[in-house]
Amino acid sequence: MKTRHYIQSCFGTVAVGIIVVVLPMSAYGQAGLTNSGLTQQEEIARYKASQGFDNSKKSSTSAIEQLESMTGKKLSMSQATNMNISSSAKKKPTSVSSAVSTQNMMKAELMSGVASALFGMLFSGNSKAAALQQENERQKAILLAQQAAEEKRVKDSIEQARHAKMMESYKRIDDVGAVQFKQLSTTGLQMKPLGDGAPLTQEERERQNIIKRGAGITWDFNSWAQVQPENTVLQEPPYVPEANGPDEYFDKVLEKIEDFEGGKVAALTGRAMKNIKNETMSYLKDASNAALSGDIARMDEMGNFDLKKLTSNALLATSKETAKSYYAKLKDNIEEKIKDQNFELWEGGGEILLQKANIYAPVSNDWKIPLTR
Amino acid sequence: MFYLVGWMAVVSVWGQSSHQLRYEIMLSKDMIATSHNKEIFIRSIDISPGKFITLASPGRFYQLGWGGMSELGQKPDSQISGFCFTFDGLMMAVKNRSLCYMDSLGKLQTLLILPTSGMGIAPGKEVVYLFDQNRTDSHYRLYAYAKHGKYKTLLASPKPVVSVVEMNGLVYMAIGSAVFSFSPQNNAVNLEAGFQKENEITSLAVDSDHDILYAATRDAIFALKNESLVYVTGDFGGGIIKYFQDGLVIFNPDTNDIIRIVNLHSSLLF
Repeated sequence: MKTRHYIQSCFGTVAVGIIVVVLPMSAYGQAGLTNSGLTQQEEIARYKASQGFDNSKKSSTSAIEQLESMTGKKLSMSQATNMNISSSAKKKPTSVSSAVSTQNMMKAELMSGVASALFGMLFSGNSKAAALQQENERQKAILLAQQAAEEKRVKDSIEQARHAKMMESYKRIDDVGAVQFKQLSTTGLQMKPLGDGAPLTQEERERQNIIKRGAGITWDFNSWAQVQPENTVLQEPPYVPEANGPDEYFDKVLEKIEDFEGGKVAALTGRAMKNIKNETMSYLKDASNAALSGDIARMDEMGNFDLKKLTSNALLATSKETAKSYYAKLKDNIEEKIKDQNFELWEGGGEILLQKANIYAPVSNDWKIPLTR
Repeated sequence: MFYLVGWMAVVSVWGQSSHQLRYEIMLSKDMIATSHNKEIFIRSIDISPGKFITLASPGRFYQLGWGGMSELGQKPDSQISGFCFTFDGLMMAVKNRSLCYMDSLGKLQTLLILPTSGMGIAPGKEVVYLFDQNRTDSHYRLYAYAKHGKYKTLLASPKPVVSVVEMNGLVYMAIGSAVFSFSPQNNAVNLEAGFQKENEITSLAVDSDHDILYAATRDAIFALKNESLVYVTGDFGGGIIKYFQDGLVIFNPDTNDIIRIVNLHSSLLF
């Protein structure tokens, strides 16, 4: 900040020096006056003439009048150097002072013009650079605008071409009222039976993929036997023992297992003999005793012990009631609580439910033996 | 149709954490004993598409749900030895030497004639498995029956196949006191678990979400995973098991008890 202030101060000093020493000459030149050996009075007279003053030898009053006529303002001058400029419309009378004051005023006018010319000359170089830069920016903006306009034109052309292409894909109906649908012929419609080369269903394709991958249990039914529709008998194949086949394996293994001597609960798993772990759920024993003996109180206790309170519908004396009344009685109590359980309410069970589901006819047809292969 | 008992004691309680181990008393011998129904159920259990537990006596089908139990379908004209629901919801049953399905009127309709009478039946992903129970020779067959009358003989065993389930691309079967796996891809059989001969396996069940195979003997339940066998419990006896909706349903045909252990997998340490 100090440096900047210092520079500004120096610049101010130099500028003042230039104003005082050098620039009066330039100012005259700038105003069209040349130092051609004329006296100062003559030069002033020439300057005044260039500014529209009447340079004739008239009185100072005449000069003021000329000035007033040029500016459209009346000059009011005090006794000393005070000078007030009022509008010509004002009725206040104007007092005219001496010719010396007029000359002072002219000098001030002249100095003002000199200063203006000085600063104009000082900053004339920067103004040119700024103008040049401004012109460059203007040219650049014009160029960018032209490019944007061109891009927009190209884009619009592409969109138009696309739209035209899309519209060509729609066949226009010339006469909407004449549109008719061709009716299916009732006699010419025939179903072509599926042959061996018919495409596979999605289900069959998935099965074939599983077979190829060897994952999961699936079967290649093409190699299976077929129950004949004439007798609908699943034929038992003749027994032909295979060497190292399953039958032989069964014989050997089962014989070995029967000779196996273990503890109370010992078992052979895979290739290794393992002792079976002790039961880890000891409370099951108590629970089973309670359940199997029908001791509701004990079950309730068990429920509280390990789980939670036994529900109220446990082991009611249901034998004296029909299941229907039982259900009706407990419906409100049960239904709300067990709707997320794994088994269904009994009502609607049995064949009635199965009939409602109506699953048996289509399902059973699949399992039936076809009339032809 | 007559109405039977209302049932279902739920020792577990609603409102508790859905992932907590709990058990549910679905049916007990006391409930059955005090009702009209004193049927003896066959050793078969399944869950219907409508989420009812389905049981059968030799001459009737029954469905159990919240609040009651009812008969299902018409009375068969001969004894039922087994039944299951196919993957697409059709009820199939073995009636003497016939493989039947239940139509929309509740009547068993014959699909085909089986090689032997009283065959066992189990559902698979795309098939139903049929296996001999009564033979004079020692070549008990296991068949797979598919839609449109297709079938295949998978293997023959010196002992009857008792139970069949599918898991991870393999067919698991219980024969005697052993659990075997069968690969449909290469027809290979492997021993997965074996018990003393006194502990014959009565049923298998699969928790496909956690890759756990459950095996029931007459007196206990076991769980098998990655060649590790865990003793689950013997408190409820063994019997017939079925895995459904995060719960292992244990059906004891001797006592008519049905108990369901829920979220069991999270308590098993293999």
